[in-house]
Amino acid sequence: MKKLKSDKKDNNSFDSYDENIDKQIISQLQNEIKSYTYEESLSALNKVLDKFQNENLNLNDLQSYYRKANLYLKHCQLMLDKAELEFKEIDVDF
Amino acid sequence: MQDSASILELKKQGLPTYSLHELNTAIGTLLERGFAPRFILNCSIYKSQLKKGHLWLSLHDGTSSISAVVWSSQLKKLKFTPEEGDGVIIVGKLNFWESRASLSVQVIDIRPALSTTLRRFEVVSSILNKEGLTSEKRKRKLPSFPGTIAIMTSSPSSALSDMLRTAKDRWPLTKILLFPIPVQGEVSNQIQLIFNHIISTKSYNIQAIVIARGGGSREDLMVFDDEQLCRLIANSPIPTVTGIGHEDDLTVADLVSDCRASTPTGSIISVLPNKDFEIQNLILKAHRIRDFILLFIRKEKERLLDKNRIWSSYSPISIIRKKSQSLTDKKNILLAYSPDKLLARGFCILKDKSGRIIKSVSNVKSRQIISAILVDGSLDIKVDKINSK
Repeated sequence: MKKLKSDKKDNNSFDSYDENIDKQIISQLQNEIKSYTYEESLSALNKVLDKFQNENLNLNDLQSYYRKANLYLKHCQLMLDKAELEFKEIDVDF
Repeated sequence: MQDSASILELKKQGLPTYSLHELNTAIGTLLERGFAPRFILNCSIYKSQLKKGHLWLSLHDGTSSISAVVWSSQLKKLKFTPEEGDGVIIVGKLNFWESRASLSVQVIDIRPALSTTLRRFEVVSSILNKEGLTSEKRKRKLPSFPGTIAIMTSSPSSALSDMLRTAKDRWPLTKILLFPIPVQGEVSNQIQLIFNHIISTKSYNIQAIVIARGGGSREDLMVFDDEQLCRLIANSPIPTVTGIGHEDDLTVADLVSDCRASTPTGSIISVLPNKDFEIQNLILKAHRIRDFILLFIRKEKERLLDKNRIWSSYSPISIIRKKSQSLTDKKNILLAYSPDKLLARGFCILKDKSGRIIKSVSNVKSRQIISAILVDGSLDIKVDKINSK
């Protein structure tokens, strides 16, 4: 029992190492994406979709790209949901 | 003397006598009382001359002519300055100068007739066409998702309200900068100044310019046939969209812009994406991602199962089983060739006294005692007779 527990712990520590790096990247991207325009976010989403279709991804890459794609997608949807028309009148005097 | 007598005679007959001043005053009064204070004239400009700030015109309609004047004070207010040969519609009144009994039309307002408008359209479009400025090849693609667009139109106006409502419904992500412009009369210079301001102010970060004007008569749209303004639109570094007048109206600005929409609302539809369509597009993309992930997992599971099958075949138990099976097979083969099997089927084995198997009659002598081994025992047999083949 003791051994099993220790094995499990080792496995977890190995997994969490990768996950931590991934979480850091995702967290950075989350902050970065806030400044993306709709077009930029959509373009990034399309690139991920291209990767899905044209590249042989391993499971780790797939997880990472999946999270990124979700971020891009949610950003686009959020922008559309919350957008309010910004309108400004500029009088040019000569 | 005879002449004086005849004039006296005429006076006696009741003919009125006027001084020139009295005559001219009488004509003036007559015209004032007997003629409409204002009227409309459809005619052409035969001659046009600017003198001391006043514009003197000769009007004609093919059979008759009359002079006309636009006083400098009125000239400044006019939105259209006619040129010789232009067909015009004039709102005017009669002007009679008593001192020299001179009659002319005082112009209160003057507008181009449709013939003038269409002539200007033909002339300008022909010039710009020859230079290739109306070519389809020059037309640029509008940005798919513009961050900021400029709208040049009159404000406030129903056209602007319609455009803003459409923009809000269609794509509220795009920032709209409105540059109010005068849209009627001789306002080309003002529009050009505003256009130049837009394209030269990089900080606006404008990705498309919409030039729009609500419906009106074709003559009202004449400013959009102005050669200089159209050259500016044609050479704009920023893509342009026009939505001028009604669906049937076509101006030179429409020909030189990158995209021509038939109405102001149409111009917004041309330049902004459709929110509903994009939402559907995003849903489709989300489905594609989910489908891909599911497909990936299924494929990986299948690969894993294959690997598991291969791995299982190399396991020690599997190897022992295989070897065991192989031994069993061999054992079965051996059993198939076992003499006991033959004995069970009714065959027997003959042996001499020393136990050697007798395979030939030549190894046996008459009256020799031999053993016959059967499945369940043996027999001692004395050879009676030997028959060779």
